[in-house]
Amino acid sequence: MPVFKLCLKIINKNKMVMMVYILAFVMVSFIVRSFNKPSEGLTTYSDTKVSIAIISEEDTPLTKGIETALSRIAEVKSLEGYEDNLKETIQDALYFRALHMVITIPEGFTDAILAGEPMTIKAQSVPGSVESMQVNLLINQYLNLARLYVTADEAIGADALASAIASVMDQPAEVTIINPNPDAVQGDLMPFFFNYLAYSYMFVMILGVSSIMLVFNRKVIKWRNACGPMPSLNMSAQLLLAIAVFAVVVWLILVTLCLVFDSQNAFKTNTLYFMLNAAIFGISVLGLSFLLANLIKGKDASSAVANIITLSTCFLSGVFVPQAFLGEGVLKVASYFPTYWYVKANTQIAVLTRFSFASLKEILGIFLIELGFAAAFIIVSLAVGKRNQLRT
Amino acid sequence: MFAHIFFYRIKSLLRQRSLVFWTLIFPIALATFFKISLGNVMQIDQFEPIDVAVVNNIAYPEFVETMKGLSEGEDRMFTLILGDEQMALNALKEGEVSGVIVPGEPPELIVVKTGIKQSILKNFLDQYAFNQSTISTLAAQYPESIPELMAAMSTSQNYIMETSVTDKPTDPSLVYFYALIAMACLYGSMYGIEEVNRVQANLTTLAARLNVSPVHKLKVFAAGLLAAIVIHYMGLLILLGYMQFGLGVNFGDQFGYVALIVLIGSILGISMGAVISALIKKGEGIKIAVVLLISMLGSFMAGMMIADIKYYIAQKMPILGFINPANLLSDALYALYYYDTHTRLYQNLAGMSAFALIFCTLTYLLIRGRKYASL
Repeated sequence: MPVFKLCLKIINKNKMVMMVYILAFVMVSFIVRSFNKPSEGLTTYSDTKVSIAIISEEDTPLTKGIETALSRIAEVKSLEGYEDNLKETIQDALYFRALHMVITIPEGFTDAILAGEPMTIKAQSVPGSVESMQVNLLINQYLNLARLYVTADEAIGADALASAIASVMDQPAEVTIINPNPDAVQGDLMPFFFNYLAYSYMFVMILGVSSIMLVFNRKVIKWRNACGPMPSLNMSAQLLLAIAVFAVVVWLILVTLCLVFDSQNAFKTNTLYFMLNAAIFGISVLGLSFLLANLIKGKDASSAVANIITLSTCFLSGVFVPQAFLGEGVLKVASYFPTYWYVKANTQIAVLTRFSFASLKEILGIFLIELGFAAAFIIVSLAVGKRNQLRT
Repeated sequence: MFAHIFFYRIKSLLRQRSLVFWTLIFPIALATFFKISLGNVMQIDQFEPIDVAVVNNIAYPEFVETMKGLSEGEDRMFTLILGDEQMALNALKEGEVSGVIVPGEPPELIVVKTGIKQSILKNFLDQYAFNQSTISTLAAQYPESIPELMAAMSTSQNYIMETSVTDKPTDPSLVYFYALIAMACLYGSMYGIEEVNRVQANLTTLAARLNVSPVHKLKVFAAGLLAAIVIHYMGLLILLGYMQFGLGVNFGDQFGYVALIVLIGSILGISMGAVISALIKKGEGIKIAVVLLISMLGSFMAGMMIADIKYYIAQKMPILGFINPANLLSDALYALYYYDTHTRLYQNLAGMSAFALIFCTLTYLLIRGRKYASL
């Protein structure tokens, strides 16, 4: 099979460029993984803590009590060492959400609270954020409790007040965490990896297939092949076979990476469907890259086209940012690309708990749509190929 | 002669479609994608009412009433579903609510995962339980002050005065756009590669011919560089204009400074390409790969893909931020937009200028006075 062999040779020669995009996948997966640890089926509840800093202009049992109470819901970070450019440090930290709130307890605060006078704590925050809401809730809770104590006993001292509130806060509400489906995929990592796979898969396929087609579509080679003894059907079949083998190899590499990076979920039924979805997406990507390769007229163009097509479809379809955050109009446009359906199927597979036909129906429908795209791409590219043939 | 070369370089550069694509079309496309996907990112951490199911237990009417009260109006805290335990648990399993509250002493919270919403629910329940136990303790201890306590109980005082750290919106998507501009500036290095290729006799035949012509090499090179800067800078201004007016990216109101940052950025990018082109004698493919790698890696570390990376590097490895031209560029834009003073802006500009100066000097030293026995 000389054509088949040649194709593999061309791919092999261009493998370095494609490796870059596989490596990008590895790197991003690695970073994302280190940012959010894979969640093991949780059994005990723990609060999600917000990050705050406290600037206290006085040091009393009451301010200490507030700090201790806050440490239940927040990680209290120190601003020590940043006094020189405190304002900019706080600005930076709030901008990047490294701190959600910086509270300043003013001088004379304890006396005011003990006297039952109105007093406020200054809080710098990302206005209206969920996290600042949480801190507000706790501080107000603490100080309203203090107010009750002061109302009951005007002579209560700061020490007694703080320890009284501390003992009240010792009996928190009970939280039970249930795992409705221990067999389902846990955490968001697996769906993320599989979504992100779309980017690398498309890029590598477009680059690889176009590198083959650029050779075969070169005029002189085309002419020479046309007068060779091999029937064109045979040649096309070998070409398609080579591209298919290439697609399968890339699929294998990327899927293996996904499984390795979230090995906890690797042997779940959902993961099988993720893999199937990726394979079906691969067929439509194969069709797309075959079509593009027939339209591209140079190496420079192939990398430009690969960039624009891959990035645009991935951004619009929710590969990088979840579909839920994209506008309706954007999603409508995106639905003209197979990537959109691929991501949509992944989103549904992620929450799949039953595998009966009824619950799989919608996902299977999406698979059909993806295959439809593949068929459409291949038909159009055959037409384009025919047109090109007639021209030369 | 200078003007002649300059104009012909402009014409020649404009005809290289791949240069125009990478330095203008690609950043514009990327900016558009960023806008589409990050447009709603501001709302992500904004508080929205938490969906919660409460088991309707008639033994605790007060609690249910409190929950109802907090689930009304525009800026309500919860969106409430009332029902029996089975229904509430089903809603939880289907992901319709963040948690189920079972009233009791103390009330119980049932969740399927942890998160900030679940923590707020727990915090709220704590508050309710603490209030109850405080009241009963105090009422037992100070029976004479029960009326006052009841009065104090019925009001809730706000002890927090929330202020914003600046009057500028802390739009987290800006870092992405600023890093993108940095990338576009550094992509100017492709012009730098081109210009050096055009004057180094050992790189292209065109350069070999140019070198035997009776024009001073510095003059040819300077004219070419100037043409590259003009074209690249024009492209960047188009990009800035498109971002500001087309996409509504906020650069603050000091547009003169933005234009200056980008001008220095353009010179920095082009000189970086020139020095790399002069250093690496191998083919053009390698040169382009090297500058793309530097630009992409630099922009990545300046937060183009994940904004937090920029902050992480600034906190943990500040030196890496200072030697990353892309970070200097995006940080200059960030500092200009976000800070009230210009100190950090000037620091960044100084760093960028230093880089550009070093690159230019190196290029000059590398390409001057070369003699070839044969080519």
